[in-house]
Amino acid sequence: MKETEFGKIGFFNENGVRGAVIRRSDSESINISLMIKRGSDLNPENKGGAVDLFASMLSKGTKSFSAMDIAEKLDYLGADFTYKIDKDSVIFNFWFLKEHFQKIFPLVEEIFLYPQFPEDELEREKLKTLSSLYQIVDSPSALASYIFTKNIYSDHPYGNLATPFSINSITAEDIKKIYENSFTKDLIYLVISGNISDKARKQIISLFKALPHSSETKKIEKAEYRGNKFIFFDKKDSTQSQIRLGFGGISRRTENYEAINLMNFILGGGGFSSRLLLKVRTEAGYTYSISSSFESFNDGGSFVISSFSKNETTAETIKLSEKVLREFKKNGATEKELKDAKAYFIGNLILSMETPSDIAGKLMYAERYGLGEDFLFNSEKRYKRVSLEEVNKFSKELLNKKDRLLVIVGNLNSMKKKIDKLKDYGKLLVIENLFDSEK
Amino acid sequence: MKLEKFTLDNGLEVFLLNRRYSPGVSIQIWVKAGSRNERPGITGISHMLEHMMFKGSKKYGPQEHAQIIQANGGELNAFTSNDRTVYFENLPPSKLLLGLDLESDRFLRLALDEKEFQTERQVVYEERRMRTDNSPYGKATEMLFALTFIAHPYHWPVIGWESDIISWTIEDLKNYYKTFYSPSNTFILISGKFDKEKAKIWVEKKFGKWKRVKIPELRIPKEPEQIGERVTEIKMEVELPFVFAAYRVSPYNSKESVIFEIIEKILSGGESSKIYRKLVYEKQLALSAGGGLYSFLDYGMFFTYGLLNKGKDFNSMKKLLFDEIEGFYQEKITEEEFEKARNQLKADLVKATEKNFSHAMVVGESYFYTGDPEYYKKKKRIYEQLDIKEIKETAEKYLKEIRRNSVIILPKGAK
Repeated sequence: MKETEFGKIGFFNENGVRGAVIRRSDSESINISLMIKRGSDLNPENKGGAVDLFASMLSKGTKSFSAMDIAEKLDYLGADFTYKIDKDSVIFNFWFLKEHFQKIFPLVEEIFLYPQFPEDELEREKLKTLSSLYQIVDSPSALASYIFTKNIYSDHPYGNLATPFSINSITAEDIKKIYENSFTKDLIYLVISGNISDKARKQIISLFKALPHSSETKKIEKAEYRGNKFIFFDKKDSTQSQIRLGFGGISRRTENYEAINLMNFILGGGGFSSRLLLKVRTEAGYTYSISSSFESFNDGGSFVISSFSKNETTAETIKLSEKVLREFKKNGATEKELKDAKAYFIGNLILSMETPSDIAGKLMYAERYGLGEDFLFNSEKRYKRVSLEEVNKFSKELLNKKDRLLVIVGNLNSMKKKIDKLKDYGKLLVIENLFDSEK
Repeated sequence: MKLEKFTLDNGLEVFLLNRRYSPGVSIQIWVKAGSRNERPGITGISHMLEHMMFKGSKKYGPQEHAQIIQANGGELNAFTSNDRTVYFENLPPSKLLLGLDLESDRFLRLALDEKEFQTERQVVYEERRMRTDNSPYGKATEMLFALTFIAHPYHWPVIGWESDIISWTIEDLKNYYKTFYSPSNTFILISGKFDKEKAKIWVEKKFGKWKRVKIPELRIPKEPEQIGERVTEIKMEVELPFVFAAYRVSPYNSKESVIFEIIEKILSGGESSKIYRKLVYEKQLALSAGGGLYSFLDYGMFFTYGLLNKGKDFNSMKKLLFDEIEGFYQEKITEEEFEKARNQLKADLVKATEKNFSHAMVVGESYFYTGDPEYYKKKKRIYEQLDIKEIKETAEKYLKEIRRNSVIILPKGAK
């Protein structure tokens, strides 16, 4: 194990089970994280949401414990079992106080190795998922992001989102199949962090030594976005519009990705230091928040500017954002901006590794995108070596997309006079009901 | 991790908390003023001033403070609540002096420029539209405070009423800044990796010249006794109806408040809790349901909520939720449930003190509300000393229909 200023860090490969350990003697807790290195593409075709149901069902009944037994045992110890799903991974996490290891261990074993996916529990989870989908409509921000994601990735697995139709069609067999395909030695990555003994570490790893290898290989399809689309979700009560403006992006496996992070920080990712915030919020007062981001995954990604503004200045917010984008693409960043952005990322590296679970998150990220085990330790060097030319080359290449997707969630009637200003985004498609168009 | 305190001649109190393994240093400046210190006509001014604290001081231009912090690898922000306004910076350890210099400039010499104020007013108005006017949950929260408190300043929203946002003047801001931003009404917390001796010298150097002003005594109305349920029903564009209700309870610094932490956990701590088990799991009426506690200087609010599952009966969910809350004192509470609640609270505290910033928040909150920065540690002892009888008595005293305040949000056209 390597002694670092964040604790002792080591990697293991025992009987084909891979992962890492972060050990810190001052920590009062332990995290056991298990990452499956596949995400949205595990959803069967037209069954968006199946992966979400699989993740939520894992703790809803095992060989020896009912869903309520598990909840009772975890709650009694003040422990958590949570999960997080993204386009390329599903991460399960146990958090508990270090003195409870022996009591938590049987739950780890049961949940990861012997889930039963009972029908009655599945029906419960499906109802909750259905209701959650309708809840999206009640949050303008979540609604705008849902429509944007669905349309920017359209037929790619990344765009295979849950709908009431897809949720209703998912069966216990679908969920079992996802479990069988994903709990394999090739796809799991285990990170154990906190105040953990070597004996306990071995006990956890040995749970997985009998897992099979994957029999199915992932099909790689590149996510690409083409054409202009302008989608307006009409919420008649709204006094403010949510805006998502974007285009196709790039894979996280792109070389020299740090240059892209730096470029986006200057453009719109850097909060008060970003050009978008300076122009659209500080100077114009059109919004409380505006940011840009590259969402980059294994098979591609997207670029999006997210903001909101009162209906009367929504068109102006979009126009001004485009102007900032144009100028940035044309003239690029300055030496000073790059110097400050680098200082931010380098200085912030250490702050973002405060707890063993922070480090665990970074190690899983590195594993997911093939960034190598030394990713944690060479980040500073990678940021330092980025040149202004590289940043500006990326800005010219990546921001030069003519095919745009514009999503607005707002009150169409109050914006009617200004809709013409947005005609460059193509024919206006108005939606009033999110799930109307599904089969 | 020994906490040290010293006080400057001008009355500014400073807490220093060294933490092993901390990668950075956190500065928090707590101003003992929030929307409680406002009056009708200028509601939201505390929060507006918080925004203006980023818009330039004597040495630094608008947003420059934030830009310098970021260009040194740090992050910063601030928040305003009903009782307090807190500014914070999380920095690499070598940047403590820089952080103190930037903070002192805005606390001692804020610019408050008219042009910047006019633009920022629009920004805050947009924030209100986003958080409240276009969010059913935000709107319900605003209404719930307005119902629960009819005389006390907790009645109005921290962000301010719309008509006040439109009418504040720069003079209102200057007066508020002059009145409440004084060393004797503020305290600083520094936590993480830093040299205590140097920190003391730097704080003295940067804040020693800050002049103390006498803080006027606030005459804050007391809430009259509630003698009947208060209900607001709003019909709006929503897919899922919900109820959000609250009972006015004792303030933060009281044993009853600690008892309500236990009650909250028994009722809604996890999926095995009473409310979740009954409403979400067994009856499947609610997508989510639970309860919680807002604790303030003058009062507390024990709240509960239920968000209806698609296609289920709203009135059945609402009735069951209130039966759980208001029938709590009559229900059997097992020793195991009690122990579970205590275990959860202990685990919450471990989580909250795992990070430098959140640990400092816990210390700050303890000091702000009780005058004892280590009150959070003592609470553990109070949890142990409580008995089930006391818990039931407290629930019976407060959680009843005539003390209930409910906001009901229904879809347009609902009967």
